[in-house]
Amino acid sequence: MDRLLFSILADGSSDILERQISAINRFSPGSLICVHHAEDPTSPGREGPDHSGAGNVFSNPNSHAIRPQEGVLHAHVSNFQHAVAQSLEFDKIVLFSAQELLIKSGLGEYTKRFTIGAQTELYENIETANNWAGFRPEVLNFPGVKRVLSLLGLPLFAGGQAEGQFFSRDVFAHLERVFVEAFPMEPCGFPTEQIVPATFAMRHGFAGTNISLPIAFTASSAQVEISEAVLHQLRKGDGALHARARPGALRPPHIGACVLKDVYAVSLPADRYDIWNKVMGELENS
Amino acid sequence: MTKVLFSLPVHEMPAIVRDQIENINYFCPNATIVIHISAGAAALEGEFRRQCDFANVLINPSSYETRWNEGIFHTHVSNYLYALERGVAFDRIVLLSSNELLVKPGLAEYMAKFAMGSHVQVYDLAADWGGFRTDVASDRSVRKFVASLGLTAYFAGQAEGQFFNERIFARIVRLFVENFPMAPCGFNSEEVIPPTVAASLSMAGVSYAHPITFCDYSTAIRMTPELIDQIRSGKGAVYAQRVPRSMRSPHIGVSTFEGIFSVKRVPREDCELRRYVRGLMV
Repeated sequence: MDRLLFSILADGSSDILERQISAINRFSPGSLICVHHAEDPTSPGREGPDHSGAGNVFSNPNSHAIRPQEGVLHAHVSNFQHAVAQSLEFDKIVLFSAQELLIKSGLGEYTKRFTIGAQTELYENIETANNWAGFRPEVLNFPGVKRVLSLLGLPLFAGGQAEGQFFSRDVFAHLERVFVEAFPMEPCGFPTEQIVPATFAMRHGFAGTNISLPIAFTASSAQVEISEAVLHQLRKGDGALHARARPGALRPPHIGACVLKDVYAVSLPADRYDIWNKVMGELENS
Repeated sequence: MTKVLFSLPVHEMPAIVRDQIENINYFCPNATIVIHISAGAAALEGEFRRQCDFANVLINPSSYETRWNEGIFHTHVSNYLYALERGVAFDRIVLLSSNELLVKPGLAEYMAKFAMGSHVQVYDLAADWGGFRTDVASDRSVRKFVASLGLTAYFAGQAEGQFFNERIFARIVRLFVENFPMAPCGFNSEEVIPPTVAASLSMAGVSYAHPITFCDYSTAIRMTPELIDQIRSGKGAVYAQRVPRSMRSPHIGVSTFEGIFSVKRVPREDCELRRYVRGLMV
């Protein structure tokens, strides 16, 4: 079984972070958690939960700027660097935003079977309503992206869902070196977390590594809502969910295929937590 | 041991069909193959019967008309019915095309783990696949078929390499016969009818695998000996840009090689690729 490091990008809400940590400790006990708090120029002191008593939670002392849609991979890279500097022992790193909640046990056993979990959609410039907005020539021509592609020996980048990607420590160490060489530790103007890890995964897929999917289900790219029924189906893992993609969104990796048994987390906005609470509460009572 | 029935519609080149039978018999021994000869190839029936004279091969005496791009699922239905008539017992039926070849053993054992293998995409006009057609969505028979499953839209996906257990395929056949003629329907029925039934079952919790055939027609990638070797290794993935208006391949950009046993397109002629696959049969 893998020992996991969850890299969390906190959004400032201590309640949400507490809930995330509680879900990790419930469903993936023994895991490590490294939390990045976004730089807040309006507040010199950080307001957040004190995890000094929780031996598996580490607050990253480096706070980088986070801007919506402009790339957050630098914050995950920073978390990884902090975990390594702290000599933390882990096998895989799992990338979480502030919205992911684990829903079932067994993640460490599952990730053990794979080096990488990532969605890898090759850059495609077919003009359709369903083509991802991130597949743009200006992204392909961005100096940092060109540098990454040059270092990896690839002609095109890939895109993929950021939430729930996981990587072996070795692969992410390579990714960290390449990222630091190609990009600044700040928002880059495009969703780095959806492009750089997916491109790394594609390189490994080409080289013969089996790539799993991200372990988090998100409704952001499909015309589907995470209801109680969906949560129950995700927990059970049988069958498939079907929904049309949202225009301009990445193809949803977990829709239209029987891969639900490999989903261990959901990405839920704060106003939907009652559903998670209810389903998990039923689980406790059953 | 899982008993396999291959349904194979053919329309030309009896000698190449014989090559395909030998290929199936090598990589999936003990299977039964039922062959439908297109009505347009009736003149070749004698030659087909001579070339396909194997103990495990049934030549379907019904020959229905087939027209390119207008649907051939009725030929698979007919093959299934003829296999039943002949008392063939099977656990999984596999829908094959005549320009594909198996490339590795283990298919029966693999299929035993799944009730079905299908490629299921919901009808979506925002996608540019030519298989999503408004005239098909509004077709009276299609709407009746879709409604009978409790759905509001049809689903579609890759036809080649779909497989089903006997009970599910019986259901698919019943729904087809109830709603469509045993003739070309004007759309690729083999890409619509089975995936739509698979979708309805999956919503009820039945899991499906991907089709067992890797097709090269919807992306820029081409079938080569090197790609066959990678598929046989079962490791990694391939990435390729989609051909405009083509379906999204179920096997591109994801690690699915473990579940791929057949490759398409292999030209229906004595070519390097066909010889390469033959070379694997030793």
